[in-house]
Amino acid sequence: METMEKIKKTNILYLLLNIFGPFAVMVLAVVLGVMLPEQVGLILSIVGFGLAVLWWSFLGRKFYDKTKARTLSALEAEGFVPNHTFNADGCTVVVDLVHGQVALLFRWNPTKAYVRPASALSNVYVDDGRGGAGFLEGSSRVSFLFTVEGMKIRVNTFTSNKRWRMDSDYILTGISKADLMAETLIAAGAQAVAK
Amino acid sequence: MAFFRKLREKFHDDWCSECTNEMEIIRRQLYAMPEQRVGHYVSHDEPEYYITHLVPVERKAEIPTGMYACGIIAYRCPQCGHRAVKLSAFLPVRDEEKVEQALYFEKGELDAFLWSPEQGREMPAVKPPAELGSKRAIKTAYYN
Repeated sequence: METMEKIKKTNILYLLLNIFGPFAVMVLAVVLGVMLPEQVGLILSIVGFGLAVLWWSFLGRKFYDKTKARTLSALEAEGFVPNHTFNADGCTVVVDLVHGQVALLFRWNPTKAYVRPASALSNVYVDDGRGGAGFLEGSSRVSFLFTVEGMKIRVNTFTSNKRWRMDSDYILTGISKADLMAETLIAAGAQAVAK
Repeated sequence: MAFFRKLREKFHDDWCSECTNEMEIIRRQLYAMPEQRVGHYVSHDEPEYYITHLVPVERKAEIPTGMYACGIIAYRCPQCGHRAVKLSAFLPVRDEEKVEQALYFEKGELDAFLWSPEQGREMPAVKPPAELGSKRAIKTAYYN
């Protein structure tokens, strides 16, 4: 079940296709639109433009979710037990407490699941993002972090474009989720060592 | 009404709704809610849910990370004898609490649960109010 492949957070080809693929479709549709008779060309241009916008707005995310679900089902079929799954914006962490393993899936490399013994994870901690002083004290990001094979991985449990007080519901929920995941990763690590 | 209820929760949860006198606390207990986890909280208003899902604990530290807790305070008005139970569900996060909901039960909905022998075993010093009388007879039907 364990994978030996070197962890790659980003698959450059997948990333470029996500950014420029819809753009290419849009340009192609416009070019074809110019070449084809008036009405057909107009419709084709609108469809091409619409598809590109839809892909950038939510179809890309849907595709990622589907690919991720397929990758996780394949893992489960191999005997991986997903006791805890945490889906963040850039990364998904799945913990198997039975076998003491952790699977990592990345937003820009969704076809690969990197499975490692949880004991390979080190320096697991929670960053509550506390900043500012006095009444300005607050946070706009809460995350848990760990190091695996020398690579530092940050998984956000809460992000915002504004700063929230440390006792706000958003921050408290984020801290609780991060604490829970950090504890789970440490427990899985202990399980892996005991095996 | 909801606004006044919120104000009361915040500042005067111990006021008697019958005579507005300050009520005395006759029981205080902390519970864990193993079915409610961070990010997956589902609110419940019906007392039956709490009767079947609460697990008494001694301290907040006993509640695992990410699990919701529930604090129950039973009040009794020394002037008119009116009783009320305040139940608040919250997520303990380090030294803070994220309160999800607060409920008041003023018709004795939780009496059988609060003063059951199982609860008594957990809190041997607690004695039920005398006026409860035969209500304690139905206690064993709950909390299994």
